[in-house]
Amino acid sequence: MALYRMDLQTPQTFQDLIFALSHFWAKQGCVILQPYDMEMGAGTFHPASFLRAIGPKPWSCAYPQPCRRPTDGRYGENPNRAQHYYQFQVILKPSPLNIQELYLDSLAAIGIDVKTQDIRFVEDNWESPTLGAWGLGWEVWQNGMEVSQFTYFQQIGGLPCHPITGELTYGLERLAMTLQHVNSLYDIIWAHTPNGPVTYGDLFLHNEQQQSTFNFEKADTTLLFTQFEHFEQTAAKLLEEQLLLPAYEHVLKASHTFNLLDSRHAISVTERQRFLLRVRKLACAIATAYKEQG
Amino acid sequence: MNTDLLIEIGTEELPTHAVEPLSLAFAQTLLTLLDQKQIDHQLHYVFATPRRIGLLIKSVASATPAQMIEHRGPPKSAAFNAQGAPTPAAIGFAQRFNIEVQDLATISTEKGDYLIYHQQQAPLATETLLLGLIEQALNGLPIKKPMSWGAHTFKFVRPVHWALVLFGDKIIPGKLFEQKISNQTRGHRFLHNEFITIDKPEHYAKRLFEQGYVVANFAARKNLIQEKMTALAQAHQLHVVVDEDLLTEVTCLVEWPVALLGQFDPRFLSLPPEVISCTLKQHQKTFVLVNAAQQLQPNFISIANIESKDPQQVIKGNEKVVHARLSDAAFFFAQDKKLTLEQQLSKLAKVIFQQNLGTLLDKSERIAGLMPIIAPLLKLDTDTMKHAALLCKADLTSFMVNEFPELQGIMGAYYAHYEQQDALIVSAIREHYQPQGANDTIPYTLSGTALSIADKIDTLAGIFALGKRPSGDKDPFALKRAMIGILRMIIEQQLPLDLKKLFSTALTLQPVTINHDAILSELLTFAWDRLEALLREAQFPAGILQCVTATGCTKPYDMYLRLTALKEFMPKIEALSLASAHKRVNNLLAKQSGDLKQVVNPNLLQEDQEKELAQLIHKQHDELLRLCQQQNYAAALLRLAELKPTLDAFFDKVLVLCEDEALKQNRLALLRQLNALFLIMADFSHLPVAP
Repeated sequence: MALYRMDLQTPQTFQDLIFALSHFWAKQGCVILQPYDMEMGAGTFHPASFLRAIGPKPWSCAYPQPCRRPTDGRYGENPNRAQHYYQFQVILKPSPLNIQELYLDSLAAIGIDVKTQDIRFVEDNWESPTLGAWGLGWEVWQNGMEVSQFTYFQQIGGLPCHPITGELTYGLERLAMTLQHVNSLYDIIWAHTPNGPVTYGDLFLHNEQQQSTFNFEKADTTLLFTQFEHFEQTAAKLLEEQLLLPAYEHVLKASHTFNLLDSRHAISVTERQRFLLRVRKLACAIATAYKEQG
Repeated sequence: MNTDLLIEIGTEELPTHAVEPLSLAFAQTLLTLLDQKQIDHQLHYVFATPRRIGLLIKSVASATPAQMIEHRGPPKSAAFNAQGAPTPAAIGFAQRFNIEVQDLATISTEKGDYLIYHQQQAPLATETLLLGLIEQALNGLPIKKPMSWGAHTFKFVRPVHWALVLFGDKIIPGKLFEQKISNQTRGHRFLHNEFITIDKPEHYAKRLFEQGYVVANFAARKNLIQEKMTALAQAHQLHVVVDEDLLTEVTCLVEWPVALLGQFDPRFLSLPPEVISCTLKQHQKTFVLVNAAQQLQPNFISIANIESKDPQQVIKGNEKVVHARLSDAAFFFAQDKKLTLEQQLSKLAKVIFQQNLGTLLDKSERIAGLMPIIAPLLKLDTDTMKHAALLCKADLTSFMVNEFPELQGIMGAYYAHYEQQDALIVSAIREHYQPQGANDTIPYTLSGTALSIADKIDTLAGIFALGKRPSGDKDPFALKRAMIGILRMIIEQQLPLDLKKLFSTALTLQPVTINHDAILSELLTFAWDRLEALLREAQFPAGILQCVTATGCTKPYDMYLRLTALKEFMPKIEALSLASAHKRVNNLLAKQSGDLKQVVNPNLLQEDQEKELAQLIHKQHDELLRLCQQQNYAAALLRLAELKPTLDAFFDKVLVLCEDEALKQNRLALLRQLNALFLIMADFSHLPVAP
């Protein structure tokens, strides 16, 4: 059984946190990837999670992924919520039986003492209507704060999973806030440099202010509707031509476009469902084709 | 020889809704299976924690009893030929048991004699059966969402990490979910992350408690949490508000409960207490505290699953999250108050209530449209109630209700109070979703009652108009609950409301074209079905409701008064007389057709008995009307009871369907008058009395 041993060198900065997690999961045999270079709402959208979870081939990887959720923007004024933030994603396929132990070991590796902190696995079943995917698992609480999500994928792109992929998603800002004892994500120390500390706020506060303004006030909804149509059609066409990876990227673009329209309140409740289904239909078709290609 | 049996399935953290039900279901199924095998056993104890499903059964028999099984073979007539030699059928039957035909016995039955064989079945050792029975019980568990893990093909509620099956001191060999069965359990995930060997089944809970930091028994753990919270609260001169659902949920989340007291910024106490409770309960699963005067205090109790090396860190962590959650709530509350409820209405115009039934604003306007026929009867001001109706759904677009849907109505009331609306409006909005279920209380105020009735009448009328009435168990709009709510409010608050009039008006307000009369009648039938159920619960005799529905009365409270009087009246001898008389009248009248005479010609009354009846009907008619208008139904029944001797004499002596057509028609007219007289009060022909 794992001992949840404390690593002597606990990460002091945000970048150290990413290094520590990368290092830990590399030692577990994961391919350490870099973030995908497109807007996405969660690390699960990365093809290394979504597509690699399909089919029988074993696969383990880990990567940090910036996520964009336009509706979560708060103009940089909320200490906990932002429209752009980081997840650290781990994919283990098939899910090993000791996956929880590995996760707890990783907490020890970033300086969380599980004999001091109150760590809890609280049921939270994950579902992504746009990806035709769902899974069972937990949100992991540290002293009442959700710091990770833990999911056993059961279905991806409308296809039942076999073997099962285990997905761990760390909320990096939340973990860093606890580790660094700060009350605002903008106060997180990202790095110590010869010129002094660089904070999360130094790097992203202006971004939050400006992007919130764009998302909520400036994004051109007429153009976005046109773009959505265009991305959808392109994805369908690429799918016909069996160009699945570019097709999937257009699904990602359509999904983000939808999210922007949502933050502009340009989509009514009934229409919303229809838009989600359009994205889902494409994601499922790509998943099926991907499985067939092997 | 009997020995104790211990079974434990160790899993990853179970969903809270599954912890106790799955353990109970497992125990129940396995006990049933043992009973089916006639394996004797004594008391059992169920264990349930986030990481284990456990069961201890005391004194389980080591084997099934020996049994004699009777196998029936061919009929004797077909078993032997004319010479008395066994036929192939008989030989074949005997061969099944490796014996000779002459060793078989015969049995005489109604259908003739048959060959039989009494097979002695040896006892089966329980230990050889157990694994199969356990597997069967596990496979039959009511798991809502079974999951797969790893590369396995089987499914369970969560991945399984160990399996313990100990029968006496013997480990039952085998595997469950690919885990080799052993006599080892495991302690708490963090406090004692090690194997613990159980040498005897009865030591299980004790070992886990003493070594493992696990309170395995669900009820014991629940009590422990409550005790710890009470003690902690008392130490700070506080009282913990124990929400039963939350307590159960928390019990499902911990194996080693530790109660910790946290604080939050007292400035959040300016938020409505319901908001604070909801935030702490739902998001943080923590308990709120009050002082001796029942006022909410800026504290909470959090149940940790660990004896932390530094509890302060756990407390500080929880306080931080609570602070963030309450800050969100305060932000929402402040945002919501920037718009008046009236200003929120424009947002309601964009929310669809139900396809083809318009928006929530349309619905609010329809509810207001019902107020002219409700408010005056409840002695409420119609305009005030119309305004309450218009505003009652406005909070549905607020941030706060978006965050906590169960605060609908409650938040609306706070916002109405904040903007200094009439107190009647505030209470109406607050209470208009009540009663939410069979055990929920009805609105306390009349304005709340009026609004609640109108809202539910509109929903029922609308959904029925769409043809989506509940069928069987399917009732997605909770219409049964709504109808029962309406009936309870009208009856318990003694309101003179007429359901037919309410539904009729509500139907005309719906934005869909419908067959008005057909749907109105469907709605009333639906109402009487629910009323029937309410009456049954209140110990009214089955079928009694028809006595009043047949009178055409559609005012539930009035119907209830009539039924109460009838229920009292039923044991009396006159009840039987009225019931049989009314049945005879109905039978006689039902056979008649053509141009029916309504007026009795006194000159055609021949017999004394019919003259007397005619006089009595005439004499009673106005008096009965008066009594029923006063709703003095007990007195009305006494009056009708006076008819007994006259009625008995009439049916005894007078032949209604006589030869003389004129006399016959006159007597039928008399019966029609009698029928009309009865129906002022009730249709006695449906009175459930035995003749």
